[in-house]
Amino acid sequence: MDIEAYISSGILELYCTGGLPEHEKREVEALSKEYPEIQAEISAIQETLSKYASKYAKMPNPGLKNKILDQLPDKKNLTHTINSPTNKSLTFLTISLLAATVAAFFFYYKWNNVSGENEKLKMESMNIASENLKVIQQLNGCHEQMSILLNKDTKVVPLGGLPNSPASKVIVYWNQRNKNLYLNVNDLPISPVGKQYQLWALANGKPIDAGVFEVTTGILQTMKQIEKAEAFAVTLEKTGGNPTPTMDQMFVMGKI
Amino acid sequence: MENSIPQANDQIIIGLLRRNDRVGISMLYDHYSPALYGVILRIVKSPELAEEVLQEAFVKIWKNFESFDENKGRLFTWIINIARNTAIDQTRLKSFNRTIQPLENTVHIEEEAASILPETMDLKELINKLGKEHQEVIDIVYFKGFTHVEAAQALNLQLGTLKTRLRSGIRKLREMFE
Repeated sequence: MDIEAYISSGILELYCTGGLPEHEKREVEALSKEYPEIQAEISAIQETLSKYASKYAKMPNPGLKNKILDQLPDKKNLTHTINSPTNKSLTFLTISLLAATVAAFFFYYKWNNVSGENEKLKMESMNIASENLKVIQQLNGCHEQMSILLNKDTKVVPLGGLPNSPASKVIVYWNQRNKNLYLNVNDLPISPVGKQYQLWALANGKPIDAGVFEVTTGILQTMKQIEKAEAFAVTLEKTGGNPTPTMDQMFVMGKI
Repeated sequence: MENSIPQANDQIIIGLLRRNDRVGISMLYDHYSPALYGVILRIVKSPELAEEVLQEAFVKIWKNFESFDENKGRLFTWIINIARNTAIDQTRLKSFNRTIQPLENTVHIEEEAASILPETMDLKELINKLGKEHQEVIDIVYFKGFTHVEAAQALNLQLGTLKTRLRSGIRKLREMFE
């Protein structure tokens, strides 16, 4: 296919302005997935049209904002309904993020308007913007974890403490559809030097190695994919793990 | 630097809206409502109707935010297309109600397609540089929602000419914005 000719035919401009009938639209979409040059051209055209459209910008009536916002239907607010270990840090992040944003705006506008302090403000706003991005990255990390936790195929399996360590608790999140396995340490004794905790899936009474992990609380650790399991257990093994579990070193266990 | 702050704001807005947080929609409104309102007004002409359409567009953005895909384009592109399509649907609804007078309607459309309402000097200059031929082609498809066949008919152009003119018009805009 002659990509150059296709791009210069004007069909992508029609696509971006909405002038193509449905079946031709689908054709463009299929080709854009196949050829990055087409996708790049589409993005550039969309960017241009957005800039053109925003030249017509006009302030709406000041009272309109509240009217519109008040009439939005309720949606389940994910931040407040989930009781997960990440919830607290997420709320904290949201608040600090908002504070950072307000500050960034403040400095941005100041920077634009005030002539004397320009350089200093520029530096400050750059610092805040870069802090801001860091927080956003953290927030996105939390968001990823949330989406794992909230997935309807994710099974939550709490592993409770055994006589070795009754207060210990580990939570396993197992997506039964894509077989991904994650783990969150709530409480485990610090592992001695040369030792590491190892997660096992028990299927048909046999233990399957699901990987070793560190005693780090508050984050989801990605474990090995597991096809089948009736229960999960954690034992203390030599660093790097063992092919079979040391049964008298079992700390927590939980059935599905 | 000039770009990083708006883009960081998009990131924040997107993050909040993914969590169904109303703060996200409030920020989106503060940032983009003038652009959205301006485009809608350009399409539906009446301020009262434009307010209704803006409201409808915000409900759509809020309800369907799951379908926004960053990999396909920027947030602004996505919302401006929602605003544009909602406004165009509204005008179709209106002209559907008016089909009793089809003749008058056709004349009306042609007149409107050629007319411009420059609000700022900046826009006036832009449109002058773009040229009437290019502007009417872009506007009839982008703001009026005509398909290429309808647009070619309305402007009395060959389909090929329409496509070439649309492409060169958008290229001209792109150069002006660079």
